[in-house]
Amino acid sequence: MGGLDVLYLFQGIATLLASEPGIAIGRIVLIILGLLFVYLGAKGTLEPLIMIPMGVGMAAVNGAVLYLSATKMGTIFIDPLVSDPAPLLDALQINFLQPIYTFTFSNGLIACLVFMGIGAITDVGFILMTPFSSMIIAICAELGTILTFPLAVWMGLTFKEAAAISVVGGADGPMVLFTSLMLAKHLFVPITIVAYLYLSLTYGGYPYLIKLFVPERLRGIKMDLKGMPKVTPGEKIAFSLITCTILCLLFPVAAPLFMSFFLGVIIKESGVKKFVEFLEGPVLFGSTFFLGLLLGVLCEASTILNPKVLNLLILGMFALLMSGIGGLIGGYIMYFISKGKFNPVVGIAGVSCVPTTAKVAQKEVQKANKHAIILPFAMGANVSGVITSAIITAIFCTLLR
Amino acid sequence: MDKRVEHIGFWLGGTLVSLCGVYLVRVLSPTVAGVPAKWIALAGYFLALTGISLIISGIRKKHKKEVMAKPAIK
Repeated sequence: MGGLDVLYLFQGIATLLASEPGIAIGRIVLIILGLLFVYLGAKGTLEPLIMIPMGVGMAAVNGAVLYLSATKMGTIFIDPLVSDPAPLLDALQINFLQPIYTFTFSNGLIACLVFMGIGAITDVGFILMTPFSSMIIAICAELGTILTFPLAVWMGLTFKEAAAISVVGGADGPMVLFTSLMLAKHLFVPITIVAYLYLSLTYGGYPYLIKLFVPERLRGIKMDLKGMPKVTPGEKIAFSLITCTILCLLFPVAAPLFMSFFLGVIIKESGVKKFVEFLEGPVLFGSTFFLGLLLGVLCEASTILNPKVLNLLILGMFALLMSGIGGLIGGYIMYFISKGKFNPVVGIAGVSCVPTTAKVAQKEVQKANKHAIILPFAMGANVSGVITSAIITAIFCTLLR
Repeated sequence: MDKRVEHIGFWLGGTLVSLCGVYLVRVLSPTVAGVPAKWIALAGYFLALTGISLIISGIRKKHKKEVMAKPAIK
């Protein structure tokens, strides 16, 4: 027993003591942050679907650093930086999450799977019923994306990095993941984490933004639902097919995203029950689960500690805040155009976090007026926001790739 | 106007306008050099999105007419 090295036995602690102070502190902070995410996710303050697996992954990976050889430290979870075929093959056989990362993350498949699931729970009929207001609001709700790009360049980020972080303003997780993988692969971990962290905060933060910018009298405006036309499933399928084809012809770089989204929509409208259940259940929740878990596992201190992370935190928050304000401005524009018949709170739903922002809008409106229903209009703005964000992503990818 | 033509007119019109936009962006613009290429591409993007908007407004108009044509419930 005399020869037993306790630190060798507990390599997680040994590597913590042996690493540079910055990395060691980073690991401890990330473990605590992981635990906090799990707590806040379980409590419902943050989005539990992402935050619980992400928090567990974060705490575990930062505790599980070991000696891979006499001099090299690492984990047997994942190696995000490996790309050469021979080491990649080794990594695939050693790191237990490497196959999921290599075959779904680095090629953007996970973003497409999430998008397919989102498509299957989205009704494009809402945008066809209220196209004009939906489009105006969705364009205004991209204010964050538009303003963040020059700000990020001014703060020293390259055009590609700036584009990747500014897409956070679109508030669409898969889109952020896709853009950062396309344009700034070296920053995709911090950018995606910042995006998902802030996106899960929108549910708690946007109601305050609504209360700040929209007085209670306007929040309670009842909207006319009687004159709303009903769109048939056939029309929705035809519209989705044409729009998907045109957008793919225009922006082939983002075609996987467009195809995934509209495939989900078309399957939903075609009423193939088994496929609908498959997409909105296993595909959407399965990919969301692994997305959260892998994002957490990628938060290993030596990977994530990047001097640009602080800038990304500031820019991400700025982008989402400005998009929320932009959406409300869009709501006000519609309020004035309709001479007071349009509830400006619908504007917040232009931020395309489907269906969170639409639900937030409806909840806040109902607090002001129990009888006011704005959900169909909010969903129209929401779906329009998704399409607008995808177009902006496509423009960035086409211009900067 | 024939009802059928009226019903599919906006589908065909919108799709054609969009495809014209795609032609400008993907076919014509790469063959032109310099600044005009950018303007052609921009016009193409605009035209493509206008086509999609035409389809949307066509669907909406058609259904609005149907809603208006329904007798009011007393």
